[in-house]
Amino acid sequence: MAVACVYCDFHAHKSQSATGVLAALLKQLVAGVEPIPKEIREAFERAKGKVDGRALRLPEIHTMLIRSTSLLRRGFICIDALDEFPTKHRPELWDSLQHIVRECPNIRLFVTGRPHIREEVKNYFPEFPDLSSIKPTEEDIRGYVTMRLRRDPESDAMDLELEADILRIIPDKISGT
Amino acid sequence: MGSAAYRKPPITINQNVGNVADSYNNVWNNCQISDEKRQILEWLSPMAPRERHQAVREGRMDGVGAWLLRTNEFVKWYTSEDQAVNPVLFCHGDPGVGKTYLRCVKVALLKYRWRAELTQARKLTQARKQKLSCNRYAVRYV
Repeated sequence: MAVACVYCDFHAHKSQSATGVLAALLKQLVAGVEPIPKEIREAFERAKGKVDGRALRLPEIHTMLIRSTSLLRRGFICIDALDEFPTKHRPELWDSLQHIVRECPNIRLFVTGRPHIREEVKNYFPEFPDLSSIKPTEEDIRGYVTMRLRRDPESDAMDLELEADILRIIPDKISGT
Repeated sequence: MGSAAYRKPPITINQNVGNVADSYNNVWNNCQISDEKRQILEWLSPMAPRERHQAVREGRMDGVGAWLLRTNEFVKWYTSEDQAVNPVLFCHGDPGVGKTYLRCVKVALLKYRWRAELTQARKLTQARKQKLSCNRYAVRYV
């Protein structure tokens, strides 16, 4: 079993590409495979001989990823903040993920992002109409906010009215998104 | 690579298996990683998830995300090997929250893997013990 996680970051917009994300996922999945698949080892040997050591292209990464996953019992791919991934490159990333999920029945994909991303997930995975989509309940958020208020180092700045407002407004705003 | 005698000793990673953050970089491979494998992994992607994860860890907040692990959707997603189960799970989150969710997910998956390995190890030990007692039995009555 292997788990691969990628965090998308709005600030790293320029350096984020589908190829980069897929390569990072491949790296983490391959780390869980022993021994390294022959195809990957051979490709590495070939690249090593070249002066510039040409970087892998997306289709090659796909093939390697599918091959490595087939050697695992289960593989988990987690992608955080997909809405922070550049919009321009997102279709390419979705295509890749779609391809991998379809080719590898033992892969599970976990995506987090702002609510509008859900529509994109649905578009790219229409075969799963009951797409599981989860968010915290209001009760969970209230519990968390209460905990944070209790830990507030400047308790003088807080009065009961403000506390009540915070506990009312924040959970409502968050769970309403 | 030189001969086996000159090869650097393999790097032992994940010494502290209890620390999820430290185990992140070597991604589940809690045995040993050879020099060659390290080179290949580096070639596949130069990304350094450790640095990124460190930042994530600093920003984490205790208790957030625990709700996620209790949801039926999540439990089904990670425990079921049934192909009919939806392989894609989407979790809403405002910026910054997702990292905490992901950390929780990772912890859950780690525990799940350990449990599976433990069960496997127990079965093996049990099988060995049985074999041993069978052998003793055989020796005694031959």
